Amino acid sequence: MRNKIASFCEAILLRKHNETGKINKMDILPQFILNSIIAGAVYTLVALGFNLIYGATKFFNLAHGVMSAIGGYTVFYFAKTLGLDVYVAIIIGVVLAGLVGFGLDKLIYLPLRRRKASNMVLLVASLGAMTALQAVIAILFSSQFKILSQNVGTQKLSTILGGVITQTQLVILLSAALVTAGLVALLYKTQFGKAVRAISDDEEVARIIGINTNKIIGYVFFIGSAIAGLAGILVGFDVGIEPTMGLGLLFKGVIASIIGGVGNIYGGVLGAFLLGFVENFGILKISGEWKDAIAFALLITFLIFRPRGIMNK
Amino acid sequence: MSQSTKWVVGVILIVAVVAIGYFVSKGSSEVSAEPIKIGVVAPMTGDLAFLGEGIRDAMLLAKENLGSTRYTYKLIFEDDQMDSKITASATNKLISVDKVDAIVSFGSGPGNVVAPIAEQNKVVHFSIASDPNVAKGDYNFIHWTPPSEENKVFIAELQRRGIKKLGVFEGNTQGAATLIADLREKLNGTGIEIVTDQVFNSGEKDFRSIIAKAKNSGAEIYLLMAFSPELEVLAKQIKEAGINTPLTSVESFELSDQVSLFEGEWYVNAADSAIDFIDKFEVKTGKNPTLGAANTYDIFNLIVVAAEEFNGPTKPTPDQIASELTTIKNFSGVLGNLSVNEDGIVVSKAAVRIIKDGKPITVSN
Amino acid sequence: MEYLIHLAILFAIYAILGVSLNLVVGYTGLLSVTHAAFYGVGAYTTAIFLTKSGVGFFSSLILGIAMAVAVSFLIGVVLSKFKGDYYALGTFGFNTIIFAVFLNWQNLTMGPLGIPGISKPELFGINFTNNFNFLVLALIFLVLIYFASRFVVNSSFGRALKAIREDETVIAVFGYNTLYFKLVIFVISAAMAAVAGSLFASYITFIDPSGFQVTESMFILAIIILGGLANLRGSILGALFLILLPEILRFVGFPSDIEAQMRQVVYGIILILLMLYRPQGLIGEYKL
Repeated sequence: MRNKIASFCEAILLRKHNETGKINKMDILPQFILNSIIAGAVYTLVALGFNLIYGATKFFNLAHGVMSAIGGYTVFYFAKTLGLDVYVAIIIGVVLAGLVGFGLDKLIYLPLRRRKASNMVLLVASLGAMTALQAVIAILFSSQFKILSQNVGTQKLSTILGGVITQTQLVILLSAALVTAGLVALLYKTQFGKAVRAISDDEEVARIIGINTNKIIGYVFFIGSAIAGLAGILVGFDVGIEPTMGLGLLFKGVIASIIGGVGNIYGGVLGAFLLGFVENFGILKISGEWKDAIAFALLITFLIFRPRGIMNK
Repeated sequence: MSQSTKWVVGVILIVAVVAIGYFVSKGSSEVSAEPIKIGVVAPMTGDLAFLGEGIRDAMLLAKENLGSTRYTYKLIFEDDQMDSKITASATNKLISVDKVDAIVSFGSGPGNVVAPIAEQNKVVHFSIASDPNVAKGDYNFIHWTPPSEENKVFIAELQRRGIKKLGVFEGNTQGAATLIADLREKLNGTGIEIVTDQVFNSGEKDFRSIIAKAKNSGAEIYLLMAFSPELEVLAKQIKEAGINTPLTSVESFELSDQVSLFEGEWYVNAADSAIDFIDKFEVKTGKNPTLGAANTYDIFNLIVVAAEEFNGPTKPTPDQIASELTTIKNFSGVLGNLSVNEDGIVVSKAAVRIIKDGKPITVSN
Repeated sequence: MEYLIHLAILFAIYAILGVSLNLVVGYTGLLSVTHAAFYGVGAYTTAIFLTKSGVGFFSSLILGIAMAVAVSFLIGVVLSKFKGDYYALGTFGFNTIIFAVFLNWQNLTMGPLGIPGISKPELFGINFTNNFNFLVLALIFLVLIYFASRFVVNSSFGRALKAIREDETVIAVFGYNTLYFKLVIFVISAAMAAVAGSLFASYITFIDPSGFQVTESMFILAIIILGGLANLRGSILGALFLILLPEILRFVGFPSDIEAQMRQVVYGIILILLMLYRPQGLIGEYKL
């Protein structure tokens, strides 16, 4: 035990490298931890938005992932094609993603809710929305993978505790933290937040006590979709964008929400980081092609043993 | 609407389809001075749509650059979303409705679906695929530099540079799997060792952990068996991880639209993908040629060359075209000197290239 | 004509998949998104036996059913603990895992290379490379499975399933072992999906993992939602619609470079409109 700690400290302080071909676990541990945290931060953003909307409407919105794509492509259009300032483009992207989500609610989900449509109907409708929107993005931008950042492979690198992280990834971590904090403040310190929480608990009751649930849900869609848009933009800078990027992100976000505890902000964050860790450490020993299977095995394990997630309501 | 109305709707639907099918098939056979029809089955929607679009653009480019020919050629494009059942439907539609003389398919998966249908219906089938199984039969052909050719050149270059430890990142696809399997076999007894072999699934964008795993393997060079978009993301994340080890690949570097990532790196490619083609493609589409685009261009021209050998007033039949194709030797294609062997496999040679100032330069032949 | 026969064969296969899934989703109320996995199990079992051993099509079909029964039993036992949305997510997870097995257990399944050269059935010397004959075979299976499903649905077993769908706790109170019912119907449904898989493998003569992912399960789910849940004829109609629609759209002229994407847009909008104005599907009895 003492030797383990000693070599770990060595790794942190001296950043030694192993010369032979063996994988030195202690050496790559910091990098793995860092990778897990970065992945967790991205999943957090998606989970936060998804959790918010699911909490209020209780249906599985398949189109939520497309909001990320919309955010990413908007920035691509304004920053790269039109040449606007990058920060302006990001703001436009986030707002536009929020607006599209808001629009979907008003045009499709709200009418369906008014007819007391079941969750499956909403799910299929959201599937239709996702399919159509993804195709529109592909028509406008072609389905080729694009990157948002200007500098390719020459980003500033920082070394933290023996692992390497890029500037964009630091921004991702920061964003996840800020958005979480912001959302917590919104939900627990404002009237609006109170209304949202009431709706999440029981929509009928909320309506009875006079809350304009449809209006509030509209805003929830806007905020949730905007957050998803931000996630898409950040992923775009870190890795890149393609029209179908949303679905993969969405499922990670969903898994994170469930294992963390649906409808609970802190649960979403916890679940996201747990997923990030399990995914990365899972392939420490197992070959990379099982990565997705591992994520879902984790989900199923939770569904069996702790379906309410780590933090039950 | 009542139950019975629903049945009526359903019946009308069926009748509509039959009618469409009938009239369309009637229509296409009434064209006089029949053109030689080439159907193209490729993914036009879905994740890989950008590849299908490249195939389509390459075909259109090839047709535009055709000089005067005895026969006219018509192209028909069908989407298959790389989904086997849709590939089969598209193929059947092209054969029985459009009455095509040849079909071009993309990928070994779709190729394997089209091949038996083409053989049964006596239609020429040319696939951009590496699985030799697709070429089985008299009507089936494939155009993709065989992995064994590429590996021969690759290993020779490794030996020339005195490299003994090779690290591999491979996408979990048919092409990569075949190549690496062949590579392992050929490396026996050469003294060159694969010190790490990291596999990832298509669509993966986070390679950081497998990169961390490979980092301490002591590899002197990393072979990236991946194509866009995974290739660029992988390369970028390798650099971000602070790894400066040289990178190499088989075929994919010059197809990338972020060629600067690979500046100064050598790789193995199908020989002399004519700069001319790359330029023309860029002029037409504004983009770099995608995977298989160059092969598609060649396939169109090979079919034309075979068909033009005939003198008759009516166009040659598919089986005439097919037998003529197997006789083509030393054809000057975009991918170099091409010969079709008796198994229906287009043999093209591989070469070592290097990216200098953003452009591929052939180093050896 | 060949084109239409081909479409009819696909229709028959997907109608089998739709009818079998409807038993679980429409009649029992369990949102299962893993049907493609059992479809795949049937397909791969048939493919492996037909290419690597002397076993004939019909024997491989039985073996495929046996495999699907075994796998679905195990999965069904685990799933029986889940409720509602979590059930759906659990099935989603299992589909992903089984797909990973198809993709990565390369010694058995050839992984991404897929298995080519699967032979056609042999029966009394009938030539099944003639697609019309194959269509007849597929339709015979469809009819058998349809009537078997009808039998199940109209029996007391079927009534128990519907009761579970309406309110599981109530029926449990009456002493019904709901776990047993849910498990049995799940397994039966998987067995039927395996039949569709065997037919598919032999018809196309080539399979690879890509056809058995979650997206395929979602497609089958869309078939039964469209056609109408808890309505077997609806599933058949839904299969007809969803197989034919993309093909019909081939003939609608869109400018060639956005044609395929436009089709997706139309498809998506159709789904939305259907949900907005006819959520019970074309001839459903059970509103989702």
